[in-house]
Amino acid sequence: MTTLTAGRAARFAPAGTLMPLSGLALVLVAAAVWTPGFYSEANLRLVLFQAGLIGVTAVGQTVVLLGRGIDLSVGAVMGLTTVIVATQTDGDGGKLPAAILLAVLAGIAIGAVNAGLVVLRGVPPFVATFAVFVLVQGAITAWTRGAAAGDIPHGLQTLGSGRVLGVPTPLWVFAGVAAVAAVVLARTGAGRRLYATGSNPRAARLSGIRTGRVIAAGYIASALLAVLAGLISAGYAGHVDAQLSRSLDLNSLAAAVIGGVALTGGKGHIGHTVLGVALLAVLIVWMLQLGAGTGGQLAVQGAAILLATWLRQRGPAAAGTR
Amino acid sequence: MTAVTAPAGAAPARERLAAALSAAARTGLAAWAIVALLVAVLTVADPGGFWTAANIANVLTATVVLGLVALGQHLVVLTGGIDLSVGSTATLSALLTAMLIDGYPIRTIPTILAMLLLGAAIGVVHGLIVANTRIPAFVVTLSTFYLIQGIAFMISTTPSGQVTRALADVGMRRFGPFPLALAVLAAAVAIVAVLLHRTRFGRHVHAVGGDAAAARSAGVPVNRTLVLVFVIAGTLAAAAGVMLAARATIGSPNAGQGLELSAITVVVVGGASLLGGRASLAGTLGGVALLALVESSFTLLQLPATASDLIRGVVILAAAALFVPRSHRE
Amino acid sequence: MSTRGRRHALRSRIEEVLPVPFRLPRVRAAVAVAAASALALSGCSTERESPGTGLGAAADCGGSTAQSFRQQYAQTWRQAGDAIGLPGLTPAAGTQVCEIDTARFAKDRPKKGYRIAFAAQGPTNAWATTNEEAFRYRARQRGAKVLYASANGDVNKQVDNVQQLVAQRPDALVVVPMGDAITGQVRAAASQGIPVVVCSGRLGEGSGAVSTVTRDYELQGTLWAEWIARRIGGKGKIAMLSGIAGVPTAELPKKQAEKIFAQRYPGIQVVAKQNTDWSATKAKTVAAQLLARYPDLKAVWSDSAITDLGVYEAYSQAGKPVPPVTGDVTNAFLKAVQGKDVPFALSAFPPEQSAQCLDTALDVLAGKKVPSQVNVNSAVFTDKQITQYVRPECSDDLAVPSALPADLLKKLKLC
Repeated sequence: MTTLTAGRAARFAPAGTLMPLSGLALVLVAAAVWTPGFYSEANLRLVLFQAGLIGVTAVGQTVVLLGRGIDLSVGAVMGLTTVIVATQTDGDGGKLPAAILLAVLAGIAIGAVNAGLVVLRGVPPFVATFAVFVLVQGAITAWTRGAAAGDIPHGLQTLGSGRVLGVPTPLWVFAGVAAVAAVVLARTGAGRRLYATGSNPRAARLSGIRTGRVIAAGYIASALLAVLAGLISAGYAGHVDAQLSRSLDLNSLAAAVIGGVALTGGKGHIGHTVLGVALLAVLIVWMLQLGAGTGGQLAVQGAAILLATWLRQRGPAAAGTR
Repeated sequence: MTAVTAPAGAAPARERLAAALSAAARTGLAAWAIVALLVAVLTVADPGGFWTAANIANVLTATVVLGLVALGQHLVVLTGGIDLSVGSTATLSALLTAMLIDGYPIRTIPTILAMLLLGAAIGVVHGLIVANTRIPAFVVTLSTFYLIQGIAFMISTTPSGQVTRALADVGMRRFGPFPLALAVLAAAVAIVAVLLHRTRFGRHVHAVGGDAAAARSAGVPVNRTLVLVFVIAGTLAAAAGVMLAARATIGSPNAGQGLELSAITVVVVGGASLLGGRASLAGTLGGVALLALVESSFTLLQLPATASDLIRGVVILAAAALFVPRSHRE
Repeated sequence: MSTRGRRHALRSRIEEVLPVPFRLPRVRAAVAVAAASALALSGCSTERESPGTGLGAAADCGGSTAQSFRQQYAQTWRQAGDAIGLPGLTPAAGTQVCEIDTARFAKDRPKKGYRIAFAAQGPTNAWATTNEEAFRYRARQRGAKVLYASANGDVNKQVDNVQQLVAQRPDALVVVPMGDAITGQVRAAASQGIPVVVCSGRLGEGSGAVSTVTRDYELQGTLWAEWIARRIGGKGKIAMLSGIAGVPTAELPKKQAEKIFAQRYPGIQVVAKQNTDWSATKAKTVAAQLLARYPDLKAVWSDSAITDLGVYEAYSQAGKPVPPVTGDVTNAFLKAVQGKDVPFALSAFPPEQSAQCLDTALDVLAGKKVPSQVNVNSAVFTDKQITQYVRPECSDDLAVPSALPADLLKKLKLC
């Protein structure tokens, strides 16, 4: 049974892209049949915005997943960014660059802590990044005494709610980030080192790759992208959102997984993530459109994750891939 | 210490320390060491408050729900899997327990049995999917984490139902420093301990987690073991839900939110390897005690609430960073 | 009847099964006790238990004091309605205001002052922080010692908190409930003779609480629903946006409003019901979707000004007129819409109500008669009166109009 896996995996590779693609097509058709209003311009713009916001963090999550990690601190970093921007600028656009610099530094620090725990101490990424999530959330509460005050500068609103050529800015940002990530992953030595590290850390180490550095870079990249997403989110809402840092934002993870990035590392590319993001964004907006309550939305999101992975990974259990 | 040691001896000393830490973590000693330290600190800080029977009972009560869920998680982690759905399962079970009993004593026992069956059924589904497909347990249970919570919200978004007084008593009564509910946890611990260390099933669990392929070729029924493990985890999560309902006396659609992360944290703090094959039951229980102690100390010592999340994060982080042994397969 | 018959049958069966040593008289008595408790546990009664009876203090619902308490309560409804042109509002059906005799809780004031346990929400947002600070401030004023516990917004945590606070034997317990799940613990506290005041929220029947001091959720839901109905002339499409699913503060006003729309305004069509999680980001997303789907939406019923902020952002960015909205009050919303054409009716859920909760708890300890329910007065106003309430110089997070002194607001960085 185990000998089958290699061959199967190879044959299933094209299906890896096909499944989310056909799923996306299916949802789009279903939306057209049930809720024709889905294709109104305003609604599509909402889908694109959602895709942009989720997408930026999903790219970071993908990089971490490729290196056999997982990043649960994304939501906290986003929240921290909005709080930093609000408290440091209080609506004053002139102070924005300094605030962004501070947020970036905070992002790098958080990414470094994640990386340090995972690489130097061998803490399981799941636990390390969850602990950091709790810690950052706690730091925000202790710092702001629970009441984060301050205005978001107008300059940031173009990033969050602006449009270029009729398409929401966040989507352009996502497109840019995804393009860069795709090139780096597919065409550069850094990308190859990440894949090598993710698929077989020991072999990668033996072949001279400094896997610790590769993994650390992944966490820092993810944290930085979360900072970017935080800026977008702040610009979109135009106000501090106290709720943001309190939710363990799993959308980025769900998108990557739906798209077909493997949790076991080294498998998947940005194309997968982009598809997953598109599918999730369409699903989220369509659920709103259908008027499904919170219960229905959660249930559908769960079913989507299971279905997407199931359809792709059907086949006998392979040893060690659990 | 390193300053005192001669430079030549520094490296081995540090290595020995690391090895000692690692061994302490593996056996679960580390978690209990922190628990002991915390108890000492709390004793010094508030001798009058900490050692009262009522306070001890509070700490012990807080271990029950978390302990039940963590036991199930412990088994799943031993097989190299993870169960993210336990919080949602507990929520659904708590909500349904109160709604189905609805104050009728005659329904108490049947409802509890039905809930345990429901948990087992959820476990069967998880186990079958994980055993028969290549979908990682993480993804399977991530999806059911959403799904089951969604179902709970579809059943009711408002708190509803009412448990009987007898069941509420199980959740609240205490004898001196010992809450009655602790008996439930003790029974569960005993069962899991016997299963793990005295039965063939226990050996299979360790074998599957150690190396599934080798286990399979050695004739271990890998699929059956996996299904069973998830069934036990689901049942324990449902039992935790019943206890939640017993303590709350009513059911709410967000009763068990966040339990899954606490449970995983506890298991890891207890020295388990998320790669499977290695976890100490004593360690997991130590983790449970640790978390319960930390939570209760905020109120006991009247620490500023704004710092509580920060302290909580630092404790988890420190415990994880100091005592998580390096994974043996890397 | 059936209970006793079955119990008898069981006992005879036990005797058949039991080995000889267990038939000794003393052991038999023990067995009988065990069997009886087993029966109690398995519960052979087919009758429904009433939730917690015989707890708390004696309630008088018919006397003259009760009558005047009831009138006071009705008065708060009338005043709130009058403030935004809805005359003649009466308390929701099922509102039971009684007079509570607190003689059995009366206690001499200890030298160091009463110890009042406060099971609070925890500093998860500005409302909760202000709620706690107002409580502490009032406690300092009245010389009471506060025993504090933070639930961090989590109801399960609060179950432990209440238990822990009760273990420290406070003179009274004030609890800001995170959900009904704490009912059991509150009842346990009450059964130990600790008077409990439920604050800024509500628990179901049988919690054993002496008094509930809060802004009436039904009043909030009614005000928002009736104002919208009047505003749109009783017909048209509306959407309902509430906070977090499963949280009473979100669910109860919504339930009341749904009832009003369904029973009194057949012409009003509720086309969408969504949760915004009290997040401006999510509210904006939901509102943007509503805007696309229902261009003819007449109004948005919402339970929070945070949500309204998201609605305002979405509509104004799309260049569409903002529909009438409702909610509680935040300075952020008022600052954002000041000088803009945004029709709204707001009814505050003042965080300072915790001070009133403390007062009630102290009244109980003084043995004064208290009403079983107190409806906290709050600011109710529409867009016409915005200038009276907006505080442009203060923080977004300030809950206006604030009853707290300026120096405390400054310390909290709220103003």
